Amino acid sequence: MHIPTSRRSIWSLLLVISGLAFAGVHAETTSSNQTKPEVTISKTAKSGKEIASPSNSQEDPGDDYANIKHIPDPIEPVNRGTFWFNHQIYRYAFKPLTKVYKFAFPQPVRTGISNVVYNAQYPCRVINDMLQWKTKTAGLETEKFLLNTTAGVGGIFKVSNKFPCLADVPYNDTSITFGKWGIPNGCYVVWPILGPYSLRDFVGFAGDIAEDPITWLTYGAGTFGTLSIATTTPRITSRGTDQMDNYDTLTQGAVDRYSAVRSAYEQNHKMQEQR
Amino acid sequence: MKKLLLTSLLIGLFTGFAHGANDAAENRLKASVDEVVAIVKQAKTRDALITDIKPPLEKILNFGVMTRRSIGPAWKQLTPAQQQEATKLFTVMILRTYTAKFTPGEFPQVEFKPSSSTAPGRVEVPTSAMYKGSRYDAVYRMEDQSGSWTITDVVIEGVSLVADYRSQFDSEFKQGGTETLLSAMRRSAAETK
Repeated sequence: MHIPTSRRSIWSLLLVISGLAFAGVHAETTSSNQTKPEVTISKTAKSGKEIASPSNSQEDPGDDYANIKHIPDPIEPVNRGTFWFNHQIYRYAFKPLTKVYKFAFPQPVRTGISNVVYNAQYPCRVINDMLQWKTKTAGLETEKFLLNTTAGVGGIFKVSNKFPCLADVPYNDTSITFGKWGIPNGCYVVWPILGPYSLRDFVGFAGDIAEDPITWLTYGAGTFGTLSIATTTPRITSRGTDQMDNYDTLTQGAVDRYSAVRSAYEQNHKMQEQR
Repeated sequence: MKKLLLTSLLIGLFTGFAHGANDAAENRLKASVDEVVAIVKQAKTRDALITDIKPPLEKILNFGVMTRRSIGPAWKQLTPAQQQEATKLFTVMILRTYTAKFTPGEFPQVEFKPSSSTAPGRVEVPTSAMYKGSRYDAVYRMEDQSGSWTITDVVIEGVSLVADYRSQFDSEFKQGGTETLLSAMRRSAAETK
């Protein structure tokens, strides 16, 4: 799960770790999340291409889960270690904080904060619509932004949900743009605090930060500095709360938390690309 | 000309059957969702909700197919007794996860979108639900099993329940075979009870 945090403070740490992760792209490995046939897995994993699950479709035509492509995970033992560390942080730090936030702000207030943050990040989505030459979607995104900013009082209310053509405008970001451009995923990496990203998506994530107007406010001083704290805090808490809920749903009662989160990440990532 | 007529007739028949199948699957799903929503509305306590919601879920969710596909190729290596146990354990895990999401009195507003037939006897019903201030897109994969439409997978925000469990079960099976897989399922089912 992408749990945002104070990005600049962990930036140096991430740069150090990224050296290890990029090395992982070129690592030859037989490790994968597959069962059998082992020979096939070994060959495909070495090629660095996305790999498919073993098939069961001969006996059961409805079983098409063998066709799901997986992002290579050559540094799985390291990722599992980082995942364990993150799980402790979520459990003992983020979860109690989320409870306090939920207690302090009732559901309608939390939804309003989340809506304002999403509305403010309009430039990220529209820039990427244009980079993918989706002019119609960019137009709808702009209509949605203007409507929610005016009739929705600065984005607090998603008035656009009342209009079917604006309710389903697909989400867009830099990672999706990279995917549309045909840039391969690279390997799967679990980052400390931030959670899982493919290497390509992690670079895309940096692009999203650069495109985010809230980020630019953090470079201001005085009035803008105060404003940046006022805007960044809701961004972290609202998104973090949503993602803690998603994380709990995925991992509570999971047989293997790591595999559950990796699979959900891969599937959700693919759906975003196909939209 | 005769060929063209025959082809048109066949296409017409097929699309007619497909529409019939879509309607049957959609109606079955709608009736089931209505039943679940009525139970959530009426439930006074969480325990009562969990008890009441199980029977309609057990009717519409095809746990046999879901378990077999979640386990994947390892399924063939289980004895019939182990397959039966795996299905029971998986049922406990799914029901508990599903019911944990509901709060008495708070029910989702579900919007049904046009369904599509992916193969003979298989229909996907996309839905959009508003629940506790958030919007979720979910696709119900349904199959006609001996004349009755049942759910064989639920895909929420692109994440398939069966595919997600399959990746977990693959990982356990790879570590130590069928016994490790079953032990992990027993542990998980006991945790969720």
